[in-house]
Amino acid sequence: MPIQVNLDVMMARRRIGAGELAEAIGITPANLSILKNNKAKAVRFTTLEALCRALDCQPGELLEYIPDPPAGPDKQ
Amino acid sequence: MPQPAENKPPKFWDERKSILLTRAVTVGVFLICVLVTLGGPGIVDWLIAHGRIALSGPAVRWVMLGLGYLLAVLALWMLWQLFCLLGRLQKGAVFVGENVRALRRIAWCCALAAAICVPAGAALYFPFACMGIAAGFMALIVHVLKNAFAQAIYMRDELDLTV
Repeated sequence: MPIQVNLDVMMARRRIGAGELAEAIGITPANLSILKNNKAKAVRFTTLEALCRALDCQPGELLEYIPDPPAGPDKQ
Repeated sequence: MPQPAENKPPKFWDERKSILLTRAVTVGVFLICVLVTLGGPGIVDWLIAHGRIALSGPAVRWVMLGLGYLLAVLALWMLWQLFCLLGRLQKGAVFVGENVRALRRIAWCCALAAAICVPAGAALYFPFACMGIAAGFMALIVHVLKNAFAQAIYMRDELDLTV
């Protein structure tokens, strides 16, 4: 997926643990782990808002667009 | 004013009883299928003796028996798949991949039964054709249901990974 969640970077900057953050934003540690490990397929605005509030950051600091590498030349 | 859920009187008919009844009927139909299969030669002889078969000749009996046993295998396997599917529904496992596979197998059983019954009905015994058309229609319905289950599983997986 070209959208990368840089949650672990921001958590390290803010020196906050996964359990503490999960409790602060009101989601389960399992769901936070899904988000942190880039396994999530969608993020609710409410979750994003809670993350930004708890980590004191902007959505752009948490999410990053990394384009997929271009496909190789077609074999003819 | 609506009553709270805990104060509602128990319903006479609920989902659990519905599944139990369907499982019981499935077992009953399975047993009937076994009995009909065991009595296959007698049924074919009766049909031939009473002149219900369009064609005649010594091979007709064996063709009828062969087709009958083939249909019996399909019916028994389909009923077994249905029984297992109902068992999973009873346990609350509704949107799981195994149910989609079971529905696909049931649809294929119905489609194969239709493919056997329609030509047999045209050549040998007309009621077979009616059974074939019903089986073909059932195959289409079950196939649509299978697709709906697959879509529901996909949507649930998407939702599970929405944080």
